Parts: sequence; structure tokens; C-alpha cells
Amino acid sequence: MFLRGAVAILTTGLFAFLIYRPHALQGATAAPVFPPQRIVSLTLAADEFLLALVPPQRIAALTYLADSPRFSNVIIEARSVRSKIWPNAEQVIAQQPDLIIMAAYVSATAKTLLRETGIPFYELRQYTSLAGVRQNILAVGQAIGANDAAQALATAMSQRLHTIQQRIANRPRPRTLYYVGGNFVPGQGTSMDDIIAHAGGQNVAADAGISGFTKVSQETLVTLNPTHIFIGGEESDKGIRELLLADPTLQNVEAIQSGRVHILPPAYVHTLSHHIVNCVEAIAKILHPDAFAVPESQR
Amino acid sequence: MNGSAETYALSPHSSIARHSGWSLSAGLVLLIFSMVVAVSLGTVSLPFETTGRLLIKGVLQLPVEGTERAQATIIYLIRFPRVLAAVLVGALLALSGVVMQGLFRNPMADAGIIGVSSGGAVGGILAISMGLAASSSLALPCATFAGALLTAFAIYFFTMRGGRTPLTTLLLVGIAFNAMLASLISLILSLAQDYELSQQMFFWLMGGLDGRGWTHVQMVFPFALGGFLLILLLSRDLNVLLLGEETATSLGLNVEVVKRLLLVLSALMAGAAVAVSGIVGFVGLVVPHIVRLIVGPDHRLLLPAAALGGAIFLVWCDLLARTLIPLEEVGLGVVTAFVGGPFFLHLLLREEKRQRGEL
Amino acid sequence: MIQAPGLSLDGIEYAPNHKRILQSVSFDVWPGQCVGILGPNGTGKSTLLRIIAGVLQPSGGTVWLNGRNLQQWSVRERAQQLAFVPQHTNLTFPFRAREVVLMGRTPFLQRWQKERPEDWRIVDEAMTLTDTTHLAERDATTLSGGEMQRVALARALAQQPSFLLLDEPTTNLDLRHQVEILDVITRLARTGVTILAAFHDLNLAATYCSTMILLKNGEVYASGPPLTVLTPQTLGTVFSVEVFLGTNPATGAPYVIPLSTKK
Repeated sequence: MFLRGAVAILTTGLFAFLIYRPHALQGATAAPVFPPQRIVSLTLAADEFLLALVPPQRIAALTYLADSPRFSNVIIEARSVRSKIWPNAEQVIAQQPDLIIMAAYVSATAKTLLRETGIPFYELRQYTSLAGVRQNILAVGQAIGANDAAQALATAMSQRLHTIQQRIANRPRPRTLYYVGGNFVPGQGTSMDDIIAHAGGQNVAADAGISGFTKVSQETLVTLNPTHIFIGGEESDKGIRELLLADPTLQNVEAIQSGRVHILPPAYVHTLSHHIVNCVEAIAKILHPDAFAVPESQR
Repeated sequence: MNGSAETYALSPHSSIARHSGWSLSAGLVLLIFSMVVAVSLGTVSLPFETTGRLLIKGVLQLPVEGTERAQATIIYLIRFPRVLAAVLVGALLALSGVVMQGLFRNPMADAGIIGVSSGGAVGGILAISMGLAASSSLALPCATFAGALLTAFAIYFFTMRGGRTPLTTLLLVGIAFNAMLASLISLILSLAQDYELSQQMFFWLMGGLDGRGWTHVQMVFPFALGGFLLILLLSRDLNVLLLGEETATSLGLNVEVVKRLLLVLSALMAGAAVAVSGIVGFVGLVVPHIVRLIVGPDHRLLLPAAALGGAIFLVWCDLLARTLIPLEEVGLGVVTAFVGGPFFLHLLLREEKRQRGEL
Repeated sequence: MIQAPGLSLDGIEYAPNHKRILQSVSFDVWPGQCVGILGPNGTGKSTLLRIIAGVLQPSGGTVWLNGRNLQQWSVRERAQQLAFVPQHTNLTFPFRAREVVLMGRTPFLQRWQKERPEDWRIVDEAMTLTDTTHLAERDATTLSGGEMQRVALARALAQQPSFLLLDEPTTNLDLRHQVEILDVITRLARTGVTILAAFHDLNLAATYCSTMILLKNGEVYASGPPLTVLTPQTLGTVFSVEVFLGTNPATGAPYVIPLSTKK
């Protein structure tokens, strides 16, 4: 009886020891490599940044979304990187990364796990505005040791935006709404709100005091009464557009009456990299077509 | 027909489990085998020899060459602690189930059914939605403990009738709480402004061991150990309680104190499990029943056997969850529901038959 | 020599939610007595037994066990002296009959202590006395009402109590087992065990009990040996029936034959 007790206590002690001591992996750890040569990206935005900032040899793996014709802005460039992975812990580690770039909203559990592995990681933050995207470019550039390239990219992005601003300056801003199926709309503090503002539109959701990406009631939708509605999807994916146009409760909304429900390519709408300017440009061209009209002589 | 103590010790129920030491040893062997298999399989396929070697190196803290570092990380920092987490969560859920079935004298009781797991989930969801979970990885488990315990106390309070707690009332109140807590969870989810946070909450609610590592094992181990030892002490009380509360009192049991202790312990164990894995159902229902068929209803054997059984069950379910679809994770709760759902229905039908006297 | 009563009830009251179930119940029981508690249904027989067993708390009054207030006994001490067999024992999980009887040894074992050979011996004896030995390995949830009742009694006997409380001990038993059980009880009484049993069968009680306590509306209406208690007037008042009182030719105890309801 005492023998059993002693064995039990010993076993428990052993387990406790095994579980609670620090779990470092002893190994030939070189000091962290800088600039990193085997970068693994866990978000599409990072994919797009990396392909613009560093040679493909330094990218160990991109996300599987880099190949997606629907979402990716870098399908062609992405071909130069062989590994496309799912954000699965084992797959990521198997790439033997010396830097992982991921989004900040990844759960605490994943972050804790990563910290235990000792692999350096960088969290992308501030993804709710164009200025935030610009900051991300510079921050990523610093993290991967490509400051000059990052600076150049950021400047190029600002210049493009500036050009668009010039074209649409002083023009009246049409009442604009971005719509996602299920009555979700982006209000104040969202990236789409910032895009619309830069594209020369008036985000009616933001004006109505809606903040964040929120579900609104059908009544609110009618009250907002935009003159232009934008949705994200491919031309072939017309479902939501048809639904909106046919919805009897929305018949008095100006955008519906005039049929101004525009579809934007998903790659433009969902991107959080410098390619977001494409979205600004696309919206601006629809809202202010005459500002972008190519003069007869140049066609 | 005189019997000797050895012959009748814990008279188990099937020829398989003739001796208590025997059946527990067999269970332990099965558990170790399951763990070895689970550590060897995963998204990245590694030769078995490598797995074994690197696992031992990790445990003994031996140096690992640079080229094998990635593999060693996968085995020792990702797979091994995850399997350990499955062992602990499985054991906790099964133990909690055994206690509740004994406490409520109802074979259909488990932490999920009476609402304690949902209470833990509410605590967890609140922590995530307030951003606490992102700031510290200990915030979540504290919140789930609090939720599970509060729910258990609330259920107890609502069912007290002049110092006694009728068990049918307890079960019904638990069902009501489950419904209310589920609505509360839906409400919090729908109010969530941040889209990504709500995604996170939803994912955690579904239940799983994705990304669980040494921190989680360290966090839950003392509760598993403490809970297990305490509940073992009460195993005879559980046996006697099953004769009926009045008989139990006449046999020297302080029934109300014992019931309270059992309630708290089972809530703590369920809460600890929820903290690690979110809501994973049916383990506390299925495992105790199967184990009881093998080793009998004497809790002195049933409790350790159920802990082993729960651990084995969840290790395999988790292995399925992460290897069924290449590269993707099927929710652990989905796997256990697939196995446990039909079993639950079977149990229900059998109970009905028994009550109508047909069995 | 004046012997102290082993069990004494002093003004016991039970009135939950202002419903008066028991009122000023007082009587003494001497060691080795076999006391029958009788009365119409709903008059509080079960309740009284449960209060004496300590399973129910009275609203007023005291129970004295071996000269000490029952409230001052610890649950465990009480279980070592007093065994209670309720009317029904419902088992949810398939314990074997022998395991159920073994649980009667609980008051004498420490939490972590395994059962000793002497415990098994006591169990075997108890099962022999109650003719349940052949049921030992049976799943207790499959037993008939009568078999379960005998197993429950065996469990109480395994406690080797000084006081044995039985709530309707013969309801589900066939004739043979009724006689058998009551014989066991009588023999136990002769060894000094004090027995209190609630009966609804007056004649059975009359045959086996040395003393009777007749309850009406929660109060003690009459108490004493069967001859004193079982009179046509008393029975008429308590049960509202006209009876014919005879004598059991075999035992000499009074024999009650109900005739008709009282006008």
C-alpha cells in the first residue's frame, strides 16, 4: 500500500517536472538571421508586400491564396515562389522559416505556440485605413531588412493616390455605399470607408454614424439611400446584384432605381496591400467617369 | 458459499476486467500506444524512426542538429503537447461525466447537458470579446473556471428545496440554463463589432485543440491532478449515494456536503477542460458508459478507468480531427458529436425501454 | 434495576410549510423491543421513522438515542448504531446484489480502506439470513420488488445495528418470505436489537410486535401491547371501520377482521 503510494508520488513528480521545465529545443542555433532569408507569409497582404519588396529566393513560402484568381493581385509574381502553404502549424515549421509574417488578430494560443518555437515573427497591424497600409509597408520593410524598397513602394503608392486626388478634386461627392450580403456595411473606421473617401465618394454608412463592419436592418438600408452601391464579386457572380435590384423593399433607393449597383473585383476589395489603390481607382472611375475620360486625341 | 476477500475484490462485470490492477494496466498500455500513434501522424509526414528519436531528444533535452530542428519543433513543440492536452481534456471530461451521472443518478447527465460547459463558454467568450484573451493566455482559463463554477452554484441554488436538492429538478434547471446560456452566447456573438474577433470566438466555441501547446498543458495539469485525487477520495461516497439519498444518510454519509463537493469538483474539471479546448461534447456521456460496461459501476475502479478511457478516446478523436482532411482541421467537437450523437440516441432509446419495463 | 429506554421520543413535531404532519409524538422504546407503528395511510408513519433515523429533521421536539440527543450524534456514529430500510430502493446503475449489501459496512470503514475478510463474512451472514445468497452475483437492477427488499434488509443487517428501522418491510414479499423476514426480525430482537417497523397490515404487526403505536392524524392515539391497542373502539375511531376482534389460534395474539365502514 505504501509502495503504491510511493510509486504514485514519484510518477506524479516526474510528470510535473517534465511538464513544467522550460521547453527549449537545444540545437545549433545561429543567432537570428538578419536580414531574414527564409520568410514565410501567413496572410495575402504579406504575400503581396513580400513579392514587391524582396527577391523570391528570400521567400520560403506564400499563402495558398497567392494563387487564387479571385483574391490575389500577384498571381503572376507568385509563380516565382514554389511553396504555397496553408496556415497549418506543422506546415509552417516544416519550411524552416527564419521569419514569419502574420496578422495581429491571430489568437493568443497560436502566438504562444509560436513563441515557444523561438521562431521570430512579425505581426501586421493597422489594417483599417490607407495610411495604415502605408505604415505596414514601411514596418514590413524594416522587419525584413528592405527599407529602401519599402520606402520606394510607399512613395509610389502615395503618388498614385495623389494623382487620383487631383483628378477628382472639388467634385461633388456622390452618396456611396459598399454592401455585403446579409446587410453588412462598412462604416466609420473601416478600410472601405477610407477607400471611398479617397475615391471621391460620401460613405452614407459612416455619415449615419455606423462604425465598424456592421449588420444593419433593412429599414436602415432604405434610409441610407445611396446613389451608388458597390459590391465585391466577379462578373459571373451576379447573385447579390440581382437580389438587390429585384428587392421590392429597396425600390425607392436611388442606386437601385438607376441601376447603379457596381461589382468590384474581389482582389481589389479584399486586399490590404499597396494594391488597395486599384480599388480606390476603380471606384473613383465609376463615381467620376468624366475625370478619368481619356481625351479623344489620346485614344 | 463463503467467499474470500481476493475472489470478491471489487467484483467487476466482465471476464475481461477480472482484476482491478489488470484492467487499469491494460488501459495505460492502450493510452501509451495511442499517444505514440498520435505523435507520429500529422500534416507533415515524418518517418517513424525520426519521430521516436526526436521525441526522446526533446524529452531528455538533448541537442538537435540544425537540419532536424524544424522536425523536432513539430514533434516536441507542436504534436506532443497537443496530444498531452488531448489526454488531459479527455480525462477531465470523462471524470466530470462519471461524477455527474452518479450525482444526478441519471445516465444521461454530463457537463454539457446540464449547462456547466456552456457556463464556462460564456466566461470564455466574454474574455475574448473584451480582448482579455489576446492580452494574456491565462485570462481565458480563469474566465472559463469562473463561468463553469458560477453556473454550477447557480444551478444548485435554484434547485435547493429546504436544504435538499431533488435530482430531477437539478437536471431540468440545468437544461433551462443551457438554453439561456446558449442564447447569451448568440447575443454576445451578434453584438461583436469586430469581425475578426467574432470569427475567433466562433472558432473557439466549435471546440478543438488546434494550436494548444505546453502553456495549456502546464495550465491545466494541476487541476487535472488535483481534481482526480479529490474525486478518488469521494469514490466510495459516490457508490453509496447511488443507493438513494436517505439510505446514504443512514449509512453515515453527510449527503448535502458530499453533493456540494461533487458538484463543485465536476464543474471545476469541466471548466478546466473548456478552458483548453472550448466546448467539446459527448465525451462525458459516451466514455463513462462504455467504461462502466467493462469495469462495472464501482467508482473506485470506474473513476481511474474512465479517466484513461476519456484520454484514449480524445487522443483518437483529435488525431482524426487533424488528419481526416489533408491540411485542414475538422472541429474536434464535430468528431466527438459524430461518434457521440448516435450513441446518445441509442442510450435514450434504451432508457425509454427500461422505464417502460421492457428491458 | 431500572433499564433506560434505548430510544425516546419527546414531543416530536413535523410541520413543513405549515402543514401539520406530526404533532406531540412521544414514546419510549426499550432495548430488544419490537415496536410496530400503525395507522391509516398518510398519517405520518414513514415520516416518523425517517425522523427517528435522522434522515428527516423534525420541526420540534427531540429524539433521544441511548440517552443522547440525536442531533448531537455525528452521521457516522449514528450509522454505526442505527440502520434504516426505506420502502423502496432504486438503483440506477447495475451494482451486484453482493456489492449493495457490502455497502452496509460503510460506516465502519475509512474512506480509503478496502473491505476486510470479516466484512465479507458479515455480508455472507446477512445474505443467508435474508435468503438472498443465490442472488449475490445478480445485477440488482434486475431484481423483483421483493428480492430487492430482502437485499436492502441484508444491507441493513450488514450494519450490525443496535436499532433497526423498517418502513413497510413486507409489502412486496410473498407469504413464505414474509414469515421468514419477520422470523429474522424476531430473532434479532431477542439478541437485543431494537426494532421499529411501520406496518399497514395490523395482523402481521400483532403477531410479531411486542408493542404497538397507533397514529391518528399525526398524533399518538394509543400505545402499548397489541391487546391494549387493538380494540374495536380504538380501531373504529382511527380507521373508521367496524371490526370483529378474534384471537389468532396459533399465537394467541389479537386478530382483526374488518366488517364494514363505520357510519
